[in-house]
Amino acid sequence: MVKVYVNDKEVEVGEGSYIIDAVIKAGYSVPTLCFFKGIYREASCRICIVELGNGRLVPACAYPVSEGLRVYTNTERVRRNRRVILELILASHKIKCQSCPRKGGFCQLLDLAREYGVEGIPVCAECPLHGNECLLVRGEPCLGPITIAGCGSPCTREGTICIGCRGPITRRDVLVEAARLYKEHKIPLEEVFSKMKLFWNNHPSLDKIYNILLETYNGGEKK
Amino acid sequence: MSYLELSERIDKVFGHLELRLSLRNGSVDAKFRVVHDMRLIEAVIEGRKVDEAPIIASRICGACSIAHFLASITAIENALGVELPDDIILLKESMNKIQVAQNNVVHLFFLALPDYYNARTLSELLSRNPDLIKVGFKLNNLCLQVVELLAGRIVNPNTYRIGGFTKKPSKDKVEKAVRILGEAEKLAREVVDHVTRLELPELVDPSPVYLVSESPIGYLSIGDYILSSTGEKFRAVDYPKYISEEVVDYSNSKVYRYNGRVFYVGSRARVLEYGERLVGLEDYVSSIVKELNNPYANIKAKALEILATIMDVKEKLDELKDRDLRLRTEYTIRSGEGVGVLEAPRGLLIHHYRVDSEGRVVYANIITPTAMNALHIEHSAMTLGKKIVEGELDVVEAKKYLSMLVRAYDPCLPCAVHVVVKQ
Ligand code: SF4
Repeated sequence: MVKVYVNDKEVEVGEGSYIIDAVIKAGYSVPTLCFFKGIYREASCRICIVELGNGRLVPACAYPVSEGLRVYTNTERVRRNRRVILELILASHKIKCQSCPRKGGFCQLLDLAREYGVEGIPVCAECPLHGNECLLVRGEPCLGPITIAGCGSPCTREGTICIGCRGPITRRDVLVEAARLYKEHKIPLEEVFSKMKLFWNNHPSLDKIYNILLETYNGGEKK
Repeated sequence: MSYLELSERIDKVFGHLELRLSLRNGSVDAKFRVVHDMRLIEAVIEGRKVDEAPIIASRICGACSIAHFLASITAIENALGVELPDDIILLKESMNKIQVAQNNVVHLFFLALPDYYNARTLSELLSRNPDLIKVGFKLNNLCLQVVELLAGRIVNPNTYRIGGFTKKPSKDKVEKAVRILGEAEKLAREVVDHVTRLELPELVDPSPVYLVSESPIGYLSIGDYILSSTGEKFRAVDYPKYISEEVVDYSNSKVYRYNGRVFYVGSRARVLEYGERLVGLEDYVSSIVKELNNPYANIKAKALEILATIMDVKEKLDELKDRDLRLRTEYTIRSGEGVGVLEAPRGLLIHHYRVDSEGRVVYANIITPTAMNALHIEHSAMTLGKKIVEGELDVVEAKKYLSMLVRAYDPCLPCAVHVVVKQ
């Protein structure tokens, strides 16, 4: 047995265990994306990083325990770095929530983005109305494709359009995808702009968002 | 006593407010100063599309977002000439009613009642009289659950758009609401029993002129007319002829007069006008109706309304749960002018819009109950002031009664300060 301290709480785990086992045994948790116990332990997503007593940041899923190891799971530094990691993951992730099979709120990235305050995932990710029921199909200027997710989409759930109260996503690829959707469903951009002005009138990136939408909308479909 | 000035910052109301009472050589003057910052919502609405106006209007007030939303949407529907089927009107009214009940609970328990138990704050009352306040919390919670079922969420409704509801409420949702309301009804009865027996400070309404929005049927339904206690009845669109507005320099809210007279809107007016329609509650109505010329008696009227609206909504929902409802109609954008009037928790609420042919709101005017009551509150306060002059009341007591008086009206200042002076 090896004695480990997780957030200063003492736990004993078997020889050859990993930090994540100790963390769970101590009653704490770390977020994981790529880790699958017994199947995948490559630490490729790195979202599970924890801070050691000596200040090193290591992935909890793949770092073996040793006697007297001190582990901190939720320090300011850990959270800051997880945020960066999440941003990197999202940067290489194709955010096309409308065509993702994990829709309707079953998105782990969305949960993490909400917890760490990283923008990028639109309301469509948690909207239950995809497909034939999507409000865009009915010709309504829903702001879901360009609004930060995390609210649980109470408006679209009740059948009214998203009006963007959580703020806009400023990522170019998300906006391009949104413009494509608006165009596909023949939603006039003026309608969308009008709704955008409800809550985002003073947003510093409003012009940028306008321009990207307009450019893509008028410039034909770019896949 | 030749000169005295009482200036009270009133707590336990929504927003910031000061009541100033000055007594000078036997003459009395009162000023209802709304010191809440200007919000200029009307200016925000102008220039927007019709479907955005109600979204903005519902943000005027967190406590009565439903009333503002519905008044706004009714005004727009009138402007566009939308004919609503009965089912829609029924559900719309239920939404408004249950919100009135919930608001009244909040006002009664958390703002007004502590006064009657000599408690300064709610927590003080809670430690002294926990059973009573727990009823309040429970009732508030139950009402909010029903609000959520009907309006989608507890503030800023999202189940309704111009022309009707987005979805038919499912059968189990309605059944759940009926069950909850049944539970709430029992609690509400306790509340009414309790509140109607409270001893009120004595005061006679100095200006017993009331305005209510007409209820074609039942209680608190949405009509097209405004009724006055003088017997006059006028179309809501004609309100500018009867209700005049005035900007005063001491307050951030406008003041209003009806035919040049100071008037009152609110629960007392509603019970006086439509009290006899409250089936099954005749005993309660007759027990409080004599007292209703006392501004303090507003809390009794409010308590009665909690029970009345809960019973009413329960009955309506029970009746419609097995029916096939028609909850949507079509509409086309056209130019027009419309006024929406309804009874918000604090009284008559008027939304007035003019729409151009592209569906943009080109003119907006919103008159809230608190702004209409401002002068009435001043006059009631002056009546109290006279009592001080005549030596019936000492200053310490007067201070207490003044804030109790304002709280009895339950003013909501964030609603009152959206006005702009238009050239
Ligand atoms: S209704 Fe709106 S939020 Fe939902 S999927 Fe469609 S665009 Fe996205």
